[in-house]
Amino acid sequence: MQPQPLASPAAPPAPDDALLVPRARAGDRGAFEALYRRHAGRVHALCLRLCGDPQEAAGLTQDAFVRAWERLPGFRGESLLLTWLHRLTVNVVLDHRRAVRRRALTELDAGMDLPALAPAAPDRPGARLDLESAVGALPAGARTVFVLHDVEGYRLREVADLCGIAEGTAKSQLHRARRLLREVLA
Amino acid sequence: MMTHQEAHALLNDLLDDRLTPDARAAVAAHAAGCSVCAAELDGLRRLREAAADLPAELRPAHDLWPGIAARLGDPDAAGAPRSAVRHRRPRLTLLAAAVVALALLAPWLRPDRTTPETAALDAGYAQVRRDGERLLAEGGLPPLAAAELRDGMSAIDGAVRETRQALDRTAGAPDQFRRLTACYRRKIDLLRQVVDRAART
Amino acid sequence: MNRNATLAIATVLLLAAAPALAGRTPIDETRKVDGDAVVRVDNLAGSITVTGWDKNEVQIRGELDEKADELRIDGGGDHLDIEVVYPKKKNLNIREGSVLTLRVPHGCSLELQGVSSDVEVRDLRGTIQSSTVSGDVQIHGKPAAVKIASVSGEVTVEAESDEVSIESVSGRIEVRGARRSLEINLVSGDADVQAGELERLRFNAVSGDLDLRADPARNADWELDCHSGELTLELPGGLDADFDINLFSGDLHNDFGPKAERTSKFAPGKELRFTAGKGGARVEINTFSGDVRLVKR
Repeated sequence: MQPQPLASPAAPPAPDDALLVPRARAGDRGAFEALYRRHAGRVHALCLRLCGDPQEAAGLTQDAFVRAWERLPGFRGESLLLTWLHRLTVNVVLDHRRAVRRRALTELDAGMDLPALAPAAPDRPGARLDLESAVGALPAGARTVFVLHDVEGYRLREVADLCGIAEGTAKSQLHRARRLLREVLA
Repeated sequence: MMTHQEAHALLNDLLDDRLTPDARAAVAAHAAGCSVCAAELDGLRRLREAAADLPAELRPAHDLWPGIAARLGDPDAAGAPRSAVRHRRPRLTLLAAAVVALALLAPWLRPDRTTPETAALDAGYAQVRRDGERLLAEGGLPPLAAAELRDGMSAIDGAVRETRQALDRTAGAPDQFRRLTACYRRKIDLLRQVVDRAART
Repeated sequence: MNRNATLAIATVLLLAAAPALAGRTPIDETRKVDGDAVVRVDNLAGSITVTGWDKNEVQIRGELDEKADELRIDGGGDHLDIEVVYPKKKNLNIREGSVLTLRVPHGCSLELQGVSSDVEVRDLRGTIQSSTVSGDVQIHGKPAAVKIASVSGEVTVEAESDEVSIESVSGRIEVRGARRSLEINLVSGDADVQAGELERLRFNAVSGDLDLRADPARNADWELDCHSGELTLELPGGLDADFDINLFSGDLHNDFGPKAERTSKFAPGKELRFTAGKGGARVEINTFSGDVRLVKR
């Protein structure tokens, strides 16, 4: 089943972050679940676009919220919760990727290529590749920078810091991503 | 002097507003009269708009809360939840504490110590950087070379800063200290190469 | 060296006088040179393509950019200097640049210079030097030595050469076929190397990644220094080498056995010194936060 853009069901108004965060910080799981419901779509969108695979994205979303629960005591409201949560999610995804790469290398025979993290092909035959799928098919480094910069709006300097790369490297990945996307979407 | 190839290479930077006013004017002027660049710029703009328009939220196919709840630790435990995740660099925090403790005992292990070697390297680095900055300030470099020089310098700055901080922490480990000074020296060499090459442009 | 009788005649190719006649002027020139002459080409923008042939002649074909003043050709015999000359003013706004396509004797050496020029060289046996800023550079064949300086172009050296040296800032580097001595200095580009047997290897980068597949010679002297990029070395399983590896905060994955140990109780960093097989080759690796992978082929 494909992930859905968030519709707007007729739900009762929920308490917002300002009320929920202190309660969750104090150990109130109900409050944390409410936070999860509020922000899962956002966190999941980020994970999915960064990793390109729905199953992996689901696992990473869970990892992100688990880490958020653990780190919540350290969040003192210096930014919006979503900003904090967003950055935490990026770190979860990138940490996971580093760990996966290390493990993959020990399991492979020499000469085999690492499997690409590509989403399933769109099931409408002859359909033009849409932007979402094209992004998912980008090589990992280029995809990460593109998603963080062009989709999520981080500045290049921030992207470089998050990914632990130089700004020059981030820039060339960004340009590469844009070029590849334009070739595929033309 | 702005060639087509240069302007073409700088279109992304133009779009992202990363060019100096002079370079911006030059690239924009070129693009105005070049159908290839104008088309590319338009395509890049549309791509960026499409990317920014992607839905902010994508709900997962099924509810992930049960899986999360199961991992949140003992619900009956009082107070703040325990951290089960191994942080990436716990040792360094402990380390820093250890170094400070030792510094109190042995003043020669004080962090931020500048030895004759690091002082010499610091001076060498400052010199190369000044040359690079001067070259950029003169404004005679082609925009692409200037952009690359700036990016290259910033990348090397970052590496030098980290190396320099690490050197402060390894004052008590001569082997590690020696290796890091060698690394520092190699970064300075790299920067020297980059600046010299830009100067010859 | 055979000195050609017709030496040192400067030839100047003039464009039509009126600037309004600007168009791209075709080039078709030939000069006699020695079989091992040094050919220098200076083309600010456009492309330089050089292919070796059997004649003791340099043939220059192509097109001059509209904004160029002239194509200057100097020399003969043991050297030939070719330069696209532009008027000395700022904001020239060169569009395509000049296309220079050369045939030169196989035994020649080349010195190429450009800013935004693509370079392609095939089938030369001399020394090839190239210095550009943003063009792509491709070298193919069996040159005696290759020395490339680039800033952001892609560099591809597919050459069986005993001495390859590449400097770049952010361009991507690909090397195939190098042997004996290889040196790469890089700030943030990536490098992909498949080489033969290397006695000397120097790799110095800030954040570029290196993927290297090569064999250390018995008396090899390899030094790799990378700040935050990843180093992946694919080495023969039965190799004889002494490793000296230093990581500040990066991780080591080692197919050849031991793990890295903390250097000291009082300082961060890990090191590992070990011998694979009977030892002999020397491999020194230093990274700051980059990971290192030693992979068995």
